[in-house]
Amino acid sequence: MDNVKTPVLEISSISKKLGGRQILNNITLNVYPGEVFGFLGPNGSGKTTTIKLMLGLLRVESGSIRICGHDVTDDFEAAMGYIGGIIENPEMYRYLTGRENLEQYARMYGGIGPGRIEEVTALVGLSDRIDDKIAKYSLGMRQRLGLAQALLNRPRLLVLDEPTNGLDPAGIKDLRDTLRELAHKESVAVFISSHQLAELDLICDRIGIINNGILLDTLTIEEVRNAGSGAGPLITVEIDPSTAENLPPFLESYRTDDPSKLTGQTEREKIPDLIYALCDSGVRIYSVSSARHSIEEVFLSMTSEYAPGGRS
Amino acid sequence: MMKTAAGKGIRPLIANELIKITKQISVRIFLIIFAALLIIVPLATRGLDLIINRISFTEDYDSYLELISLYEENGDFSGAAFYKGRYESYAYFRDLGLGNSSVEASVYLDSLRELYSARDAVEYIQAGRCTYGKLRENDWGQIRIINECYAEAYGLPAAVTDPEGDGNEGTGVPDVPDDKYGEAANADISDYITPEVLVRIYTDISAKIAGIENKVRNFDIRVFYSDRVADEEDNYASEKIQLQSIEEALKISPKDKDLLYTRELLKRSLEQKDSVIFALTHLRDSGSEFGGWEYKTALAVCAASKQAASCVPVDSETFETDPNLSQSFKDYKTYTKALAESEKQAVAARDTGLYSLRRGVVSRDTVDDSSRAAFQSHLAIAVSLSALIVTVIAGTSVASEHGSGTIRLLLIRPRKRTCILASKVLAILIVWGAMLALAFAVTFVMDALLHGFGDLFRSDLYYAFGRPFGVVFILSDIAMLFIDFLSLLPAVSLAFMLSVAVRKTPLAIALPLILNYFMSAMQMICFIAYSEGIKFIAYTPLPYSDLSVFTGTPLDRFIQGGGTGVSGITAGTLAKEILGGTVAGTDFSLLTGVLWMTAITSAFVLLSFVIFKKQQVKS
Ligand SMILES: Nc1ncnc2c1ncn2[C@@H]1O[C@H](COP(=O)(O)OP(=O)(O)O)[C@@H](O)[C@H]1O
Ligand SMILES: [Mg+2]
Repeated sequence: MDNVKTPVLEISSISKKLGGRQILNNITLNVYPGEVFGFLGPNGSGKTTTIKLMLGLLRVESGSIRICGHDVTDDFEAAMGYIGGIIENPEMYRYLTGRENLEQYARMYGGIGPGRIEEVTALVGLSDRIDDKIAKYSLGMRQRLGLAQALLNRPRLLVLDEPTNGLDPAGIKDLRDTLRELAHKESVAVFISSHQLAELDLICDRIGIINNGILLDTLTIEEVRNAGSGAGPLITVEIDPSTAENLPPFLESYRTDDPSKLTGQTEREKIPDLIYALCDSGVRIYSVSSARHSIEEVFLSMTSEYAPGGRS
Repeated sequence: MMKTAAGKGIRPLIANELIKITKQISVRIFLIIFAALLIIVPLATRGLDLIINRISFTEDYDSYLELISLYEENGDFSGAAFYKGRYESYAYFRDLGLGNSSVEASVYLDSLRELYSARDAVEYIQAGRCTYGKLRENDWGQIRIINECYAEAYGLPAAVTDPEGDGNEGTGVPDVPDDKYGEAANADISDYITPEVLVRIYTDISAKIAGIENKVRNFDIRVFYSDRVADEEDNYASEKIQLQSIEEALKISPKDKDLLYTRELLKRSLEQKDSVIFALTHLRDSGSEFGGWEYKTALAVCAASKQAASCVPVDSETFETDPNLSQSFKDYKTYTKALAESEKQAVAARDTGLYSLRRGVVSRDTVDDSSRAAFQSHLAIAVSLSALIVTVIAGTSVASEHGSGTIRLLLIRPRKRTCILASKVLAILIVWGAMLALAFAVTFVMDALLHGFGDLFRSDLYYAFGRPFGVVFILSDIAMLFIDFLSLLPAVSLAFMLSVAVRKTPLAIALPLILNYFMSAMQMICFIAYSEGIKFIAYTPLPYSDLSVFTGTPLDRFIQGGGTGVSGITAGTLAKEILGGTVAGTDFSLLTGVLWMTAITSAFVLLSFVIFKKQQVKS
């Protein structure tokens, strides 16, 4: 199957206003079968809004979203047949047991037997508590049940909104393993949003970074790791702000909003020259650091670069 | 187009909704309370009924003895004689083994009581405990009888006020002749009352008592009815003669207004006599039970016929000059219209009554201690209780999904929102239907146990499209159930709509309940407004919050007494009494109500769907 070419999720030029505020601005991204896509952004950046648009909870007003080729607005039912997800905290009927909740959703698809319910229950490790009322579940257990309901219909696209909320480290590891297996063995596309970056580091094949409703970039995990290989590492110099005016002209681009901080990329070989030039022109240096390229670094550099008032 | 997955009817969704409704603890509690009330209400009303019966139908005769000595001590011998008369008359029927509601007691109790009381008063005078003058000062009703006897014996001038000797104008069943001597009965004859005169009066009263007691002993219900028939036939003959003489007189003065008017009255009266005589003959020939449904219906037919006969308008000149008429009616046209309306109602009532007698279809509230009436009223209570619970369910339905956040996981399935909402509507209807079926079964069993099968299976009398008809019991009950259901639908659908639109459970429940309460008050207000001339109100939805009110027949307002059964004391029946018969011939109609309630419900439901389809889940 030539799945790699056909995206499971196509988001094209989505913008969204809520309560008169622009929440999302011209978002475009694709997610392919078998990949885990991390959707990163700080709180309030528009992750949940994007997911709600994908699941038809909010109206798509400009742009389009297609799931396995089916438009979420025009062909809602077909699109929803391929998707499973959780949005924010997975809230279920507290007066029903875990199993009864799963049965509710199973009935809405048709063709999902008790076998599948056992299967997903086992997959998320909830077998021994499945007949308890939800009211007795911890947040972590509800997250697990949330994942179970999202998997009921064997979705081609699994959408998880901050699924690690309330999970303990062991739970996070379980989740990671489950998602890897789904993606790499069953070719499920996983779209996972988070503001906790370290967790995604180990799961994602590709990431998209969103801030203030703008998708800053999408990168493969290799691109993240090798972010410096072309232009060199990212260095940050802490200086005495009163001496900042002495900055040599070729380093003007290193200025940031913070007058005591200079950042920029340069080749490793040129770092000693750079330090010498700064000293020579009378800039007082407190520290120089060279960054390692993790998701977190990329994320921070991008979000500060695109912060309001910064260059865009 | 490829459609995902199999088995995608609405049924699984309805199953989901049913599970959600029935597994909620609060709903379960409500349902248990509902089931309990289905058993408690018939039991409680039956108990209440028995208590009421005991209070109102067991007279503590001995307490009269205390009253009598109390009045004697106070020197009020008229009062003492009054209670003595009561005591003796009750005791008389009691000793004969006839209850107070027996036909004999109904016919003769009052006159016997008066005579006993008068005789007791005479005894007091003879015993020297009191004088005629003293008695007269503080008269409790004995003077009239004493004076009458005196007049008969010694020839006081007679002022005849009631030539027929029939003080009862309405029903065609005369009671005992009263006041034959008019003013003489009130005359002060203190000067003539000597011991000899008292003896004479005493003897006369005793003879009268003996006469009545004789009638009581020889009472025959068929003779009683035959007398009524004979009275009406005599009446018919004499009115015919009267009409002839008026025709003669009109030959001489053809323009005499009074003659023309009287001729019209007589003509109409003669026209209506057929119905009156038929109703009374029916009683006579069937030997119907006194006070039973046929008796009540026949009396209602007589009353309606007489009203129909009396609806003859005076001419416009007389109208202008009669202060009473011109004060109560805006103009001559209003007056004639009102009379025509009244006639129409009376004719409709008469025909309904005749139908009822001919076909043996019982009119509501004419059977005492009716199992059927008990069943119907208990069922009506159960239906409104069920609506209360269903309003809660409908108000919770969508709002609670928003409140708990479950709406998100509900709407992301490959299902149309319309379909999801429809499953909620249908689930609510199924739960309601099940509650109604349970109510029907339990109420039926309870009332059969408490009241016996009795008339439980009889047909009901209806009036629609200008004519009366009977409906077989089960169909009639289903129809009434549907009408009650329809009356309650707007509130439930409003709760549902608010649940969708406002997404706040308390508001979605409270507002319809408050509105319901307000609307039932509105119904009464509308009736009053209508009678004050605001006729268009009958075309608005405002008076139609309780449609069962409009199922009464025109006969209802002519039926006297009504049932003394358990079912009596609800606001619904009160309104029925006020409005019941008036519906025929007014602008109010069941059909208008049904159309309005259907329209309002449809509007609320439609609105729910439109809103739900467009709604974004922002929270
Ligand atoms: N109903 C709403 N009306 C107005 N603004 C909203 C609404 N819901 C969310 N927002 C705003 O949209 C932005 C993005 O929210 P969200 O998508 O939930 O962010 P994230 O999931 O990335 O934390 C936030 O600033 C939030 O305040
Ligand atoms: Mg969020």
